[in-house]
Amino acid sequence: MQSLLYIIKRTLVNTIKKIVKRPLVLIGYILGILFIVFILILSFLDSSSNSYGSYDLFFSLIVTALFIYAYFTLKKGIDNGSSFFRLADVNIAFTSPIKSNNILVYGFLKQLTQILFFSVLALMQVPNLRRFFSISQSGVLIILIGFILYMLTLPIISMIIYSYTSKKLKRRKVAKVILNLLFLAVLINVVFSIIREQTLLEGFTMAMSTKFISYLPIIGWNGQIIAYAISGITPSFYVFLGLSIGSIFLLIIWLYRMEKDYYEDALVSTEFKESVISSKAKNGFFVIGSTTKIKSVSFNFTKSGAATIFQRSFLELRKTGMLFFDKVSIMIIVFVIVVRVAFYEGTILFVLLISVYILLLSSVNGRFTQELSKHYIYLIPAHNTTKLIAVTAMANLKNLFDGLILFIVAGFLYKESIPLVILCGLTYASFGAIYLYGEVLARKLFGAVHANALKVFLKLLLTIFILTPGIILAIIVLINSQSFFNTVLILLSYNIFMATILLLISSTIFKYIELG
Amino acid sequence: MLEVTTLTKKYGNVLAVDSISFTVNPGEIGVLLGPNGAGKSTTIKSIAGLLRFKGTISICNLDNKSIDAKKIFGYVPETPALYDALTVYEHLVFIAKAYNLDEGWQEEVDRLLSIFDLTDKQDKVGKDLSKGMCQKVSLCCALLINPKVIMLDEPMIGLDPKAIKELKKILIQLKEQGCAVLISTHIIDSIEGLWDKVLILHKGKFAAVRTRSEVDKNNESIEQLFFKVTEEGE
Repeated sequence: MQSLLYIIKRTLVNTIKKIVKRPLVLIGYILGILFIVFILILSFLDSSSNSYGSYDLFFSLIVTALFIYAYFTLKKGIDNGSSFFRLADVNIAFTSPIKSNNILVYGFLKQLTQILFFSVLALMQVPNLRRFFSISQSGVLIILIGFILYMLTLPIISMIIYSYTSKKLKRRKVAKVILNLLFLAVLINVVFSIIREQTLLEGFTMAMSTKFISYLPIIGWNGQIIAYAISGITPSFYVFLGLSIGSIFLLIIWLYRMEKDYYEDALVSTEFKESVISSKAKNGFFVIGSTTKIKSVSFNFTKSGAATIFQRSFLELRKTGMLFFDKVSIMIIVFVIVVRVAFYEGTILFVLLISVYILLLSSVNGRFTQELSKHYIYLIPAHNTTKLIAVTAMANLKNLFDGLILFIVAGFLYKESIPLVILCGLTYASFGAIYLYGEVLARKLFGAVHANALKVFLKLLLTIFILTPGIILAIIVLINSQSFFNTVLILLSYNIFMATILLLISSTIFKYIELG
Repeated sequence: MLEVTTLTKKYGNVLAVDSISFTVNPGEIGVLLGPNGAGKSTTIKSIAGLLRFKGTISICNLDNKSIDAKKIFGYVPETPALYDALTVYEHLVFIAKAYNLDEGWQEEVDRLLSIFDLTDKQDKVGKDLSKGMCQKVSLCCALLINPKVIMLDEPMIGLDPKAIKELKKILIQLKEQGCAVLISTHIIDSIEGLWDKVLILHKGKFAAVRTRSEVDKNNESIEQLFFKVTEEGE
């Protein structure tokens, strides 16, 4: 075990050493940490936490998030297993004379450090949660405990399921059917409850906060733990905490006893994980899987220079069939309907604010990172700004497409005018452009690895220093003119201005390959 | 000695390796050849203890998955994956600790780093190394433990001419010290003059197992033998 701890220790020391060698990156990390501390202190100092969200609603939302996470993790687990390891562990540690259970513990420790990193993301949402729910000051710690325990449990369950199902194709199929049926049952229950109660929120809360779900192993228990953030710690908290920790130990023992020889399962899932990591590094999130069919398409390049980059992207889209209307578009339509039903008195402006916030948290800019990994972009004889516009054109068009869909539906639901609908769609896309060029700039300043690590902080920085002035300006216009159209127009104009500045500053990223 | 007896491995309904048996004796260099999809990687991973399989694999009469067997078994994988944030030297320190090596391993580390021209690169982290350098580190890790059995999967790929020459010299030294060596490769030329036994896998089974004297007696090269046995009946 000592030798495995040596890897963790040296990895940490060397990572810190590398960061210290790059002052800009170091400043980025220090500011990032200070920022998180500042936000947390601020949210703690604000004792006037609101309480218009009930305990049951909080529990229902938490449990729903846990259900969704479990569904996708377990589904992936059945297909590819789940691994705490990297290929270096497989090649070096697995073949060394170290007991396999020690290697498993080492895997958990590594997983724990990753989870702690993701916990920062969860921490950033605490001020938002406190805005809607009366979360006690110790509640933040409780949320973190529940979050970490849950994040530790699911990979073990995934590994157990994979160990069992990987041996026979039939088992895998049955496991998938069972998983789908279980989650379908939960969904049907929610839908029936909404129909019965006639209101979305009450129906949803009634369905998801039942005693049955509270006592459901893992999801219910961890949901209960997190929900104590509102109700405060009572003796039953320790019971659920004990159950959760106990279940992790039992699952580890089960995994170890069930399959001492877990290396093969870990190998398969590690190889898959490694391919995903390298695909992400090379292609961003735009990954063409081995099962993606490439269509034969006749196409003529009619443009020259940087514009060919855009034409090539378009050709790739046509070949892979990954056109603008995709899962994100469907989710956006569902989202706007849910917002309309849940917030009767909301406006199209409210939809715009929530949607751009979600876009900020989830912005996936795919293609430009793919271009950065290939040398062609650096060699094409065109101006850097034109190249960046061409490379990001597809992402901007996608945002515009999603924005228009979102606000056409919202315009219909809120009975707004067509010009306002179009303006909102354009504004949505303009926010996307700011996020996109902000990310390009971050990569230029910090490099891919650190820009990724500092993502949360950089997004907040973007929100505060770049977006907030525009939003304040828009609020002033709204108060003075009482016109949604003028408000959104100001917001759009400001965003276009800022996006252009960011584009110009970041366009030199194509000057040298090392900047990308 | 490496001893594989009736090794069988199935992936779902696909039979990747079908009851193969072979031995690589102490002081012998065995070469595992075969076209793509023949079952070489499955065989290699099974011997390295990374896969579940039917049959037995023993390393110096010890079960290949036992701790004692691992102590005397060196493995150089086809894809040299290193720890991103560990330096070259730290990789070797880790190996020394993990294998609980006897005092004096530091000198061996220095010797290996010098042989493979890594002395001035020892403070570089895994992430910053080229593929060839990763391969050299991977070789150093396998050689540091002074193995009784060593298995190398495509060991020459990515190496510069000097490193290839040094590696060949080391493999001959290992052979002379009584180590059983198994090399898996596609590049037949790269093992010319090294091998004692050739094992040609085809569709999960051995299409031919020959010693050097048998091949020499028939006055044919491994390449001729390879094409003869793998293209038969196709």
